[in-house]
Amino acid sequence: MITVTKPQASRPESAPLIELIGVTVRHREQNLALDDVSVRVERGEYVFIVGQTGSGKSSLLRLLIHELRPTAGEVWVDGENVATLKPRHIPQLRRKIGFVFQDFRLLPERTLEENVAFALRVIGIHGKELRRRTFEALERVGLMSKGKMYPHQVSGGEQQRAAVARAIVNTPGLLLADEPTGNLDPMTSLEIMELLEQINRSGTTVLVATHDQQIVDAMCKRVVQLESGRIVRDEARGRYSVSRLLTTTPPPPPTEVEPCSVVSSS
Amino acid sequence: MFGSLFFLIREAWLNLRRQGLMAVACVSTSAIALLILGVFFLIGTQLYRVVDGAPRQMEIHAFMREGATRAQATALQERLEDMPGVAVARLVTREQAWTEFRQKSSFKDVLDGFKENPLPDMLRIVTTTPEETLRLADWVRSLPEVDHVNEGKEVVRQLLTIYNVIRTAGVVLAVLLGLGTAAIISNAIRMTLFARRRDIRVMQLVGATNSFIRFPFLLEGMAEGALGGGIASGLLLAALHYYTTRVQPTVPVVNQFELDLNRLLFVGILVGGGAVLGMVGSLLSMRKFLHAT
Repeated sequence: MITVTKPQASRPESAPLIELIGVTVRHREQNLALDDVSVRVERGEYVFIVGQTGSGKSSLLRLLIHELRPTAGEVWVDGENVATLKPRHIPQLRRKIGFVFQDFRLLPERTLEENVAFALRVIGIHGKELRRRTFEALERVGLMSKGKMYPHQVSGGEQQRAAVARAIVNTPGLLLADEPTGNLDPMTSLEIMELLEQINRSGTTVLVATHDQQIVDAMCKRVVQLESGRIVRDEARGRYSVSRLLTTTPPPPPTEVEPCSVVSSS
Repeated sequence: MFGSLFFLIREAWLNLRRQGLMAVACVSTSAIALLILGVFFLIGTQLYRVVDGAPRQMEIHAFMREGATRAQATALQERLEDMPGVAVARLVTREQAWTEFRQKSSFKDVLDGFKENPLPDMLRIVTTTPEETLRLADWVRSLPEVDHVNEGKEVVRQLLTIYNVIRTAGVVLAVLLGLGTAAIISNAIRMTLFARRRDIRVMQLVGATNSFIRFPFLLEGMAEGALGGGIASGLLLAALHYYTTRVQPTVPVVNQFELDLNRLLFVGILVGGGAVLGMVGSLLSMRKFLHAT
């Protein structure tokens, strides 16, 4: 199986924000993290990527920030083929993308405010501009009063809010979240997801990799389901589909999945 | 730009403080390495001064042939005095030399056995430049009334040999110690990089450039090396001070060697050398670490 990659330098403005064309990621000889995946995400979309652990969710997100290189295929982000990006252009790509992790990844010896400001400092912003944008980001996630506290002094939900603030402080067009609620209780998880939706409403494209069934079912957004590195389902308004977690038989016909009753138009 | 620079310098300082003991190890090893470098540098420069200065102080001793008259000796002396390149030309008569020799010598009884003065007349010539010494010595040697000329060539040659050996040994040792110091600092920086891998991950994810990420670590290595150089030069200058004030005046042999050293340049060389070693060490460890992700 050989995938021919057509060399392309740029694409028109109307192109989708993200487009994967025949992407394969092979870790070792037999181990396929992603197997011939093609998917498009338009600007302003909110997409859940669901699937079991090891199904390739994280790999898909890591491809977009060039933490992982595809073995074959094209990875287009905002008009650039990330797969062929030169190392010195990676920082520029990452400045356009915010990333939120399951384990927050806050720096423990810095206050929440410093953690958020850190993302700006390392790209050369300082002084008044730095303070203004840090302040705004903390306000958006509702952490104004906790800016001077250290990560260990606040709750998990608040830590994740700070992480979200750090991800959006540079006003990226794309926000990626890898299991953002994996370490949080259901109530807090919902709050974080609402926060992400709020960010999405302001125009940022959001991709969330998760296996939090309740959240996915409650929010009724586009769902892309991965299984063993392949896309097995892509629904505009989907549910988590519990059966996928428990069985390895082929996916049930679409009629078995109850369509979303709540239709939200953004 | 200055805001970022301030941030980067503070990051380097934080790294140093968090590393604590490792930084102490780095500074002390680089201090030891640079101390040895400094010692060789000092010995080398002083020896070079001796070698360089020796021919200038060397006199030409020209011994008249047996049978040459006093008039011939005086004529040569006067002739030399007028020649360019000659600072002083003095005649030491055989009588003067004999008296002087007998007074200084511990073999008075043996010398008393001589019925006649065995010494010839001698001219003591002091030249202005080393080149003149060799040129004049050759000229004087060619004269028929002169028997033997001694211009101290051998001493200079031996000193030069010793100097060359010490210089080669110093350079070899300096390179080896320099490599060792760079390796130790490189290792310490690697530990800092490891301790700060979370920060580095976050920096990379939010789009910091590699040079931005590297700068504090580079600064850390340079600071460690430079501090080591500072300590080394401090210790050496203290030792020198002790030598010049306590040892030198009391020991008769060494008090002829005058110590001459541009102290500021010396400190600059050691501190700068330390900084360069630290920088090389940092770059070595970062090359592997930062390209992995």
